[in-house]
Amino acid sequence: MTNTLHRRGTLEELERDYVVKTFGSGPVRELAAKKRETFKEIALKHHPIAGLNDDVHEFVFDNAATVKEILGELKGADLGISVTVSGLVDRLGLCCREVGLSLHTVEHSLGIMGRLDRLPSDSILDINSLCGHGMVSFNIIQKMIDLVKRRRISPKVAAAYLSKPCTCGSFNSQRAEEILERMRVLG
Amino acid sequence: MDINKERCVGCGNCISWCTVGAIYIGADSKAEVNTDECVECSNCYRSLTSEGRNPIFVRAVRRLLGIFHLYYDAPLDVCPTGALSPPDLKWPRFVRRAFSDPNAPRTSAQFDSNPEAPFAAFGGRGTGEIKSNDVTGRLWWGNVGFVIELGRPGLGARLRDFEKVTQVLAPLGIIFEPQNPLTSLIMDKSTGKMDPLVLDEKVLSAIIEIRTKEDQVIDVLTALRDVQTELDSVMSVGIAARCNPDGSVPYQKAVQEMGLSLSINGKCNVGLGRPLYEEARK
Repeated sequence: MTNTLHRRGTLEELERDYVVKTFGSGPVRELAAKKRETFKEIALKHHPIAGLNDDVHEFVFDNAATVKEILGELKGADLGISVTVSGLVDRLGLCCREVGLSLHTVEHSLGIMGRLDRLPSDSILDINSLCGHGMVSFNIIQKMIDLVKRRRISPKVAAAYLSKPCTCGSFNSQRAEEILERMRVLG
Repeated sequence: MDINKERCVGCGNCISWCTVGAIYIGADSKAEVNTDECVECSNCYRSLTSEGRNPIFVRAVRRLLGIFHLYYDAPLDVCPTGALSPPDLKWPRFVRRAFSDPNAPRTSAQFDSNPEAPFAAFGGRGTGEIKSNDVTGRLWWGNVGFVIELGRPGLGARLRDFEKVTQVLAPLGIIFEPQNPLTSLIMDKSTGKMDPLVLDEKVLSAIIEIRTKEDQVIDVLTALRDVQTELDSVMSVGIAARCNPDGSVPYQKAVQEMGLSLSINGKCNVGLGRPLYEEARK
């Protein structure tokens, strides 16, 4: 899945958006359940801002320093399960080097092609990209923006509503709240 | 999605949650689904909590409030009467749910039980692509992977559009990822021709996942650039490879030559899987 590949935002915004995930594969998959639990314990210790659902092994963090600490602990634990991190690639490369790891495989987004004329505003796209399966519809985002602008609900409450359809746990409500707050201020 | 007209009170809460804008209020003041546009993602059903109220009671209360020019503004994430229900789907329509609903069954059991379906569903919209590449070595030095997700962001796409893309890619000699669920719908891998029965089906998104040689990156990007004008939807494109020993990626130059730029963020496998593919191969 390209769940967390196409997350959008400025450099500053993406500095606060890292997704750490584990994935067992092939012969490892059956043996990995216990190891994934250990992965989860390490991740939870660092207070992720999303991904707290019991079934997921995908956690969102709002800074690279925490990701570096987690990678260091995962390396020390030597679990042997594959781990991917989505975020600023250069920053992640640096984090890896500092804990004695290196980027093994990297995937970049090349952006969107096709009928760009059918797409809504950048702010709506930014929020939509925060859900791995794109389940937060353009219409509900627009509705929340309208309600926030009319001060019917707070950006925090609106962001909580928007996180509801995301079943993979990668929706960064904190970033959604920031975008909604910006929309409210701009009017 | 099915909406029970006997239960629907026309509050309209479900409309905004629909990922593709397929729900509307009909002439009878009750919600209706445009079944041709619906991608069977069940997002409306999951996002709205059913209050399970008696529809006669709810309608009576609303009428009473209306007399006094009052209106009850229900929470945005409830269906007062539980009018929504995901239907049982037959081939080929169940392709919509397989790709659009992240909670669709992860095993192929549901699909294997349908003898008409030449569709090996692995669950989800794609595969793990690079997530376990440190162990599987699926994408190795000399190769570059592409993930072309049609319908994303937020528009959905007909499988007819997918076929336009697979047909321009197939002649390039690329490899369609065998474990990708969309690959199982490509009947002829040499031409990219898909099962004609599914072409009119619409999904929220699905991923064409291919592997190619490093020196073919420009060919693939050229094909995508050319075919994009023929699509009625959008595609989010990703590119991946095993990193060079210095941490760089082998496709950077080709991407720049095409006038494109790599995103500053991306997905990184940090090489913690064991045994590492290179070690296992030894």
